[in-house]
Amino acid sequence: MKAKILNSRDKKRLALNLAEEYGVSKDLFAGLELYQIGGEIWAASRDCLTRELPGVRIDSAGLQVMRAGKPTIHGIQLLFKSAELTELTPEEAEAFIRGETIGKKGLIASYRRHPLALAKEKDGGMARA
Amino acid sequence: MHLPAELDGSLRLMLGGEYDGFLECCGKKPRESYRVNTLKAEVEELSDLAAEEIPWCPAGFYSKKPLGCTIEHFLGLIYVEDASSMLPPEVLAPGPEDTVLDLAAAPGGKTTHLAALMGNRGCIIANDPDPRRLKTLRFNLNRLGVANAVVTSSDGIRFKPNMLFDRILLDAPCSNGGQLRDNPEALTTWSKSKVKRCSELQKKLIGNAASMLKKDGVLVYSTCTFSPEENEGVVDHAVEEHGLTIEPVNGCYKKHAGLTEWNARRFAKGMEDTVRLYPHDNDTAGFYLAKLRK
Repeated sequence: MKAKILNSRDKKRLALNLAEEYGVSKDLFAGLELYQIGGEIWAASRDCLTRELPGVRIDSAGLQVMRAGKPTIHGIQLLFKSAELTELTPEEAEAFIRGETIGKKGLIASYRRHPLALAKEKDGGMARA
Repeated sequence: MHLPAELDGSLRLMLGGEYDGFLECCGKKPRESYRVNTLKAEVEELSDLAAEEIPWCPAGFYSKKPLGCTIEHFLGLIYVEDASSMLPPEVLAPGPEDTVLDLAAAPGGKTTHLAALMGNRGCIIANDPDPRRLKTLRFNLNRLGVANAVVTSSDGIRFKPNMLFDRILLDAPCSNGGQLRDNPEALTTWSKSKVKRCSELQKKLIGNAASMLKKDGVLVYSTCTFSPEENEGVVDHAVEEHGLTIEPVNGCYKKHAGLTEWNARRFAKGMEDTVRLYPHDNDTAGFYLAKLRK
């Protein structure tokens, strides 16, 4: 499947959507180029996308940040530091990673103020989405 | 610890009076160490994990406890690796606009280190021929948030991307003698014939790497073995056959100079500027490193 590099308008629109939905900064993609393959959005440095590698088997370029319209866990962990985060204690963070429900509320769980993963509401608390 | 007779004889010759200290150190597990992933975290914010700084890496620390199963690891805030593995990227010292080749990249510790030094800018071609190891490489690049790497899967000898690189890291596959503290079983597969096979492969790899290096570009060659045939012998080949020159590796830490001769064979001029790290030098794995310029 061929990759399509997002132009600045599409990139800005995507950033605005994420800002609206998750409270993340609108310039979360600063310094990165985005490209689309099917239902996936990948982020990469500009230089990664301008290199021609004829005859070389390319496995991937950059980092997958969106899949099926949702941010991936690695995209969240790298780019969502500016979002509204729900900070977890070490014990809560370990339980959250294991898939348990935590007695807190929020869209994005964090540990040491670093985003961990998206959360969903479950049994009056939050669990890994 | 029981070393194969030929390896034991070589090490006694290399180390002289230091041999007993070397052997005693090899009987102990190496110190746990980690590198803060500066693409995601500041060095200071994770200082509570650190026991001591690693002198050749500003983001590297010996740790107070094992960190492989922690949330910090899960989040990609740190990369757990032997302290010696932090040396090659620091010596290669890529800039944010560079085009860099990591010819044998898996599992990705050094690639992620290069990406951090480049601030996720420029471009790293991270190549590894083994599909199983490629999966681990991809996972680690994702976990640490690396966005400036293109992962490729080619045989390092035949890899011809039709472009030249500012900097190349060749952390070559080797007979693994330097890993004996972490993995004593590696010694069961060590043999002179394996060393010879590895040395032949390494010469081909460094030859191909040299052909892809820009004029004035830097190539760092490293292994985790003590065998001169896989270290100074390969660097000698790069100097004599491919016209690279050896540059000194600076830094204030305990190290041994590369061997200037072995088995009555004199190596190329400047070989003493390459670096041997023995386990008892800094409580690390055994390691060899050379900085070369085209």
